[in-house]
Amino acid sequence: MRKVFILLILFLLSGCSDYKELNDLAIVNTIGIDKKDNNYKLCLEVLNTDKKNGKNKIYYSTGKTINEAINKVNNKSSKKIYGGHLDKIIVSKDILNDKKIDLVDSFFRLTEVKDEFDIFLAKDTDSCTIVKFLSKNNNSSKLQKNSKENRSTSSYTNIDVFISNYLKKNIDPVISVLSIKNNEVYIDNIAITNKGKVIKYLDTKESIGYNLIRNEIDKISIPISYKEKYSTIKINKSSTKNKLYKKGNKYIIEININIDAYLTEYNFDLDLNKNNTISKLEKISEKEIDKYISKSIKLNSKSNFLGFKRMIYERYPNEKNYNYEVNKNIKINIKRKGEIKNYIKEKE
Amino acid sequence: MINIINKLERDNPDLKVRKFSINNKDIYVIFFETLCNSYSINEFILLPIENNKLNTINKILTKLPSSNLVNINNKEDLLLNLYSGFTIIYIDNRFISFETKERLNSEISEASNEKTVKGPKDSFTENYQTNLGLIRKRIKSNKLIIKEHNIGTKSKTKVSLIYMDDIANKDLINKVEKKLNSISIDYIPNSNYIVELMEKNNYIFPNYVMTERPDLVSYNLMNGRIAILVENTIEVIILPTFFNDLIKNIDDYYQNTKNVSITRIIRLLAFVLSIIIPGLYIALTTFNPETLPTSILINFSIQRSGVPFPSIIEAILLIFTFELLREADTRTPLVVGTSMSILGALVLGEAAVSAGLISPIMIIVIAISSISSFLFNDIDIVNSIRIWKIIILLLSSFLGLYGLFIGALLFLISICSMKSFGYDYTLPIYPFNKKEQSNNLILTKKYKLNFRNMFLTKNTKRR
Repeated sequence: MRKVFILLILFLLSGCSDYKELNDLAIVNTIGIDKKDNNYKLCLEVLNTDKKNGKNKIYYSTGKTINEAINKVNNKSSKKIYGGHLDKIIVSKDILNDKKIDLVDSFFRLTEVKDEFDIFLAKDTDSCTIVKFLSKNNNSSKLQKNSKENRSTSSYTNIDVFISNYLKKNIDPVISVLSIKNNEVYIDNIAITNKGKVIKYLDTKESIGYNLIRNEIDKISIPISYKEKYSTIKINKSSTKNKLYKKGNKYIIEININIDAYLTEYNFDLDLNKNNTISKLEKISEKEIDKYISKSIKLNSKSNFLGFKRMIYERYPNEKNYNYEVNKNIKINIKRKGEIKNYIKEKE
Repeated sequence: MINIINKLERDNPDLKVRKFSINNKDIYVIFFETLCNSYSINEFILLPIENNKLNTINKILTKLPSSNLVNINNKEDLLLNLYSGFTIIYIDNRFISFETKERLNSEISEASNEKTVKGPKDSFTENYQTNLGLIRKRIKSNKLIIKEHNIGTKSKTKVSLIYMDDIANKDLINKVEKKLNSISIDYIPNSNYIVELMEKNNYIFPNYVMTERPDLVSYNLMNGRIAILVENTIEVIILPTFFNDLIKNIDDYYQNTKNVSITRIIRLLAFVLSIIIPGLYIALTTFNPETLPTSILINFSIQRSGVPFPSIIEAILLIFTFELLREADTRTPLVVGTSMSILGALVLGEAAVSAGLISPIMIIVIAISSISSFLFNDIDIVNSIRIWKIIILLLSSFLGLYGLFIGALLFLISICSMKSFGYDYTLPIYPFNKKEQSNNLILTKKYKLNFRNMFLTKNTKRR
């Protein structure tokens, strides 16, 4: 009898504590944050859950704080705003230029929001425009997936990583950039920030160099040239091991990059059937990759986005002298030549 | 004693008393026409007495052609024999009984509740002797012991304890026998009464197996278990039973050993799914939607849009409707049953969704849960799964994933605290035994052919 009574109580009280029905939730996918006259201007993209193939809705709102603005949306929406599945936030330059980034506190204090979303920077436009464009094409989540897979020219910055780098000493966090080109949202290269300020937008080569050094490169095609003719190799697998040791007054940072690559396009006049051609190709590729990396390393002397100083600081926390030199060892292993054994040429 | 007969005749219209006079000596033939075979009475009792003019007790004892003939000395024996279908002859102030039973049983037929693919298809019947014969037919050994009891103060039902003398655990036998002797009830309608009278505890999961398959009984006897055979029932009880017997089936041993393990894993998964999945769905969608991938969440949300009930009401309604259908289906004759299941499937599957009363995903969830529970052919197990399903569902709708895990813990606690006639119900997982694992989820060929269950018997070698 007691058991029946307990079950009855359970039944009557079911849904009393934290119960919410799925169809009463407005699942927020993207939040764009702008700043205007000391007010936050938010736009929330809410995923369509009413019909199949419907459009996602965008809610606009302003407020003194981010949470106030989000709460205001509840008055407009028929469903409860739910941030548990927040995919990304897009911030404009003004937000990052604040000395203290408010959004850090605001998003980390909310228990409902997972800290697994990404942060993007809107370049040359405000973030709400990008949110609008994204939802117009309904490819908001597609873009995200794509960026995760092709992160060689961009960087996929988790909010967690960004904030922890932001708080760390001797490293400048990078942020991925979205911009609008020809009426379409485009995943741009990386931007370097320092204390919230955007210092520099990298170009494609520097971005690839950054990803190579940080061991975050994924499959990417790289053109190589020889005697004014071009071929392409595709990086299949790359592993980077960084070593740090002290030599005299200086720190030596050794970057060992091992790359497995495929030959995907071949237009050189060299005969592929010859023994030394492949090794020659590898040499050419190594030189090409070296250019990418050198460019990044050169940039690093101005801003610390590669985190070499951080490496030294982590090993020798009391060190004040950050003189360092970088040694590069690049090794490329061309594994496959493709189906065609040689380059295509006319019969003589 | 003749007074008793007269009294009986008044109350029982089917009691026949025939009086002969042979050479001026009275002979009475007394029998129940409903229990006795009139042909054998005519042929083997009445005709010889008429023809040979048998008029003394000695003549009858020596000349009557019968294999089963008993002298009766007291009232109890007289009644018991009479009610068991014997014919009583009263002569010279003495009673003699002859066996003239009518076979009031169905023939040996295919097992209807426990289907098999490769195993033998015969099953127990309501006849006690036939059932014993089916077991004896399989184990032709003098070590097969059958201890008979008469239980039921009014019904005098024959209950026999069957075990292998050299294999079964003597302590267990003594224990069960003691409990059997202490049973006091007027009538045993079915064999489960015996176990429920022996057990004080009221467990949700059954700690015994009721089966109608003689091959299963024989196999378990050879493994050191005890069988209890009850007169007039088709179900034989096997003691003791453990939790992992849920995922075992006698058919496993008739198949290629390698493939059996996968079947058993599927059964275990089905068991877990069946208990947990409605609760899990409720917990994930109403309390912890952040644990679901976004695409699934959107899908669920779209399916639920427009459903007027909260999820928990939806689930309970659906389970209730499903149970209604099942109960109606088992009670109705086959012809009506088919048409009803079509109606039920249509009403449940199509109409409820298109009316927007129930979301399709909820139907899938409840259907998976119910179908999974039907992997277990014992109705007691299906019903106990249902109870736990509802407990976990309610807990989940109350506390979300916390509730789900509280429910799962409660389930584990209840399983672990169960005993089956002195044995832990969770053997051989707790207490853990390494050797017994080869007949747990995974069945090894070596175990199947060479060993007996080492918890049940000390005589583990099979040859």
